[in-house]
Amino acid sequence: MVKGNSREHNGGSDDLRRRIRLILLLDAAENAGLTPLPILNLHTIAYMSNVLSPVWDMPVLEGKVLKRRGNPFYPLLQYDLDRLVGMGVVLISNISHVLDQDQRWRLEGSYCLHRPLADRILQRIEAFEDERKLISYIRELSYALSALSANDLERATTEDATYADPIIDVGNVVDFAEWDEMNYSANAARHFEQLLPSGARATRGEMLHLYVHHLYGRLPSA
Amino acid sequence: MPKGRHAELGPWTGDDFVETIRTTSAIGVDSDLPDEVRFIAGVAKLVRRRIAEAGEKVDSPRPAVFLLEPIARPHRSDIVPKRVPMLDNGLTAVNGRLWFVSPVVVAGSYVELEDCDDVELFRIVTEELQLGTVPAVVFDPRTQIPEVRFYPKGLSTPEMCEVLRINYASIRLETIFEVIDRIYKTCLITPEAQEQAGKLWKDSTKHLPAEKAEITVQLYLRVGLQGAFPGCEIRTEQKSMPGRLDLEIEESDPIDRSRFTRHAILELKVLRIYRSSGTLVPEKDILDWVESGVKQAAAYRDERGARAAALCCFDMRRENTGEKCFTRVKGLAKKHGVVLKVWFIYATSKQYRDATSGST
Repeated sequence: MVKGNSREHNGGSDDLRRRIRLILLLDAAENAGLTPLPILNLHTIAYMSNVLSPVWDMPVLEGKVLKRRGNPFYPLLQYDLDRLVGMGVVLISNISHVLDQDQRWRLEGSYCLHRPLADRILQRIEAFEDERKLISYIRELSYALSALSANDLERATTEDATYADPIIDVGNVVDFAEWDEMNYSANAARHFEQLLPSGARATRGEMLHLYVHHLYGRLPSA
Repeated sequence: MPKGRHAELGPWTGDDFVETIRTTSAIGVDSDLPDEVRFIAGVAKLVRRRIAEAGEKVDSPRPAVFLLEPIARPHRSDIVPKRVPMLDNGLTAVNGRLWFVSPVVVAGSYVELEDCDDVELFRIVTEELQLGTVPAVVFDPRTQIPEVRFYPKGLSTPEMCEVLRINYASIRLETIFEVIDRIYKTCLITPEAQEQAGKLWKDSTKHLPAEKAEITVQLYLRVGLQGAFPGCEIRTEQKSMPGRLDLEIEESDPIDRSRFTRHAILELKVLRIYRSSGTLVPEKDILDWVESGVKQAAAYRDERGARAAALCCFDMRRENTGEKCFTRVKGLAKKHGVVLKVWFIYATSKQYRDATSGST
């Protein structure tokens, strides 16, 4: 499990790891029919990929996030995303400015991979066993989240078992894998494992899908 | 059940998790299977659910076409595809529409297909959309028994089509064995038939099986059985009181997963003369494996409430002795109602050719 502020501690290798995960997230989103992916939904999927990674026995890339009024937002991810756009690996469309729930202006856009460049990177990534495991996890998670509409995905964290914990106020840190290891989301997904009516054990793929379907059931009607 | 901090659910404490399971299709069971197999199973489960929700006569009698293409591409600029989230809940009509879906059919985008005949439908996909090479599944509600047609090479190659039933009153062991026969002949029978990533032999010239031969056989069977019975879940390595069973074929009610049929338990054994380390396996050990396989299959079937049980042996020894490996256990198997079946895995293509030409 990655502990502490990874950027300060490990410098370049963490930069690379974050960018790889970002490319994998966008690749998986496209495979799931979610692209071009609005910026806030990209941050939501990134958060979900962190909080649910124990279900797939994957290390958590970022184990904490600042709780905002709306979606989780990772400044480092945004920084990496902007760099990937600058490199031509990621394309941005539907650009506009919006006033967010914290009354701050921010750039709004939708993202997808620029395939001619991204595919070469993905081919290299897929050569590594650990990365293939990460790919399978992020793909399955994206498939699970694709069951939600764009609007429901945008507000998914308002009912996520960890992010929506009422004990954590807006402006405080939601910590599930840095100093605290209380991860209600992963616990809830795993809770499904032994509840199948047929007595079968749910697979980790099933647990992700059941988690998202249960979360959907908790969302208030739009 | 997890205990302590791993059991805490925060704001989800007290939620009805069982109800979520009951009303959600079995999605993600097959996350380690190839995309095309998942695609067929996903469409089959969606169609089953839709029929169960709406009845067979409610929806349009026109075919539904599903393309394994998650990003929708309308064939006319004036058409805007409509995205349907939670498609798997069966509340949306699928017939008369061209669907763009991922391998996991939990959402999709569709465009309405005008009242066109089958030729025109194929033409739209192959010529206007230029998606004739994309794997496709067509559900035709006009047939008496609901079935789907799978086009692995797309609608440009209509002659390559597999017709698959999606509802099963019962799945007999004979039918399962026919599927395994096909898997055996296409994927297992000789080293050349096996995929590069799924070789059963460590060194076939020395009759040395790969370390993970059992797991590899199991994966081949899962893929083949899931493709053949797309409305079912092919579960593996389920923990059970008597141990861990190898494969089970389970069919859930499309709208209520608390109702299900467990069609069969398959206990798999790979018979080998050498362990992967190269040490010789005594004949007695092999016969003991077979005997334990019969007992396990019967115990799993009884414990899991399955309709049938079979011991499926994959013989990787030097000589093909047919069912001789079952001589000691025939009475036991009959007593427990376990069906016995063996498939011989040839170490070389030459051995296979010699055997089939009768020159051995």
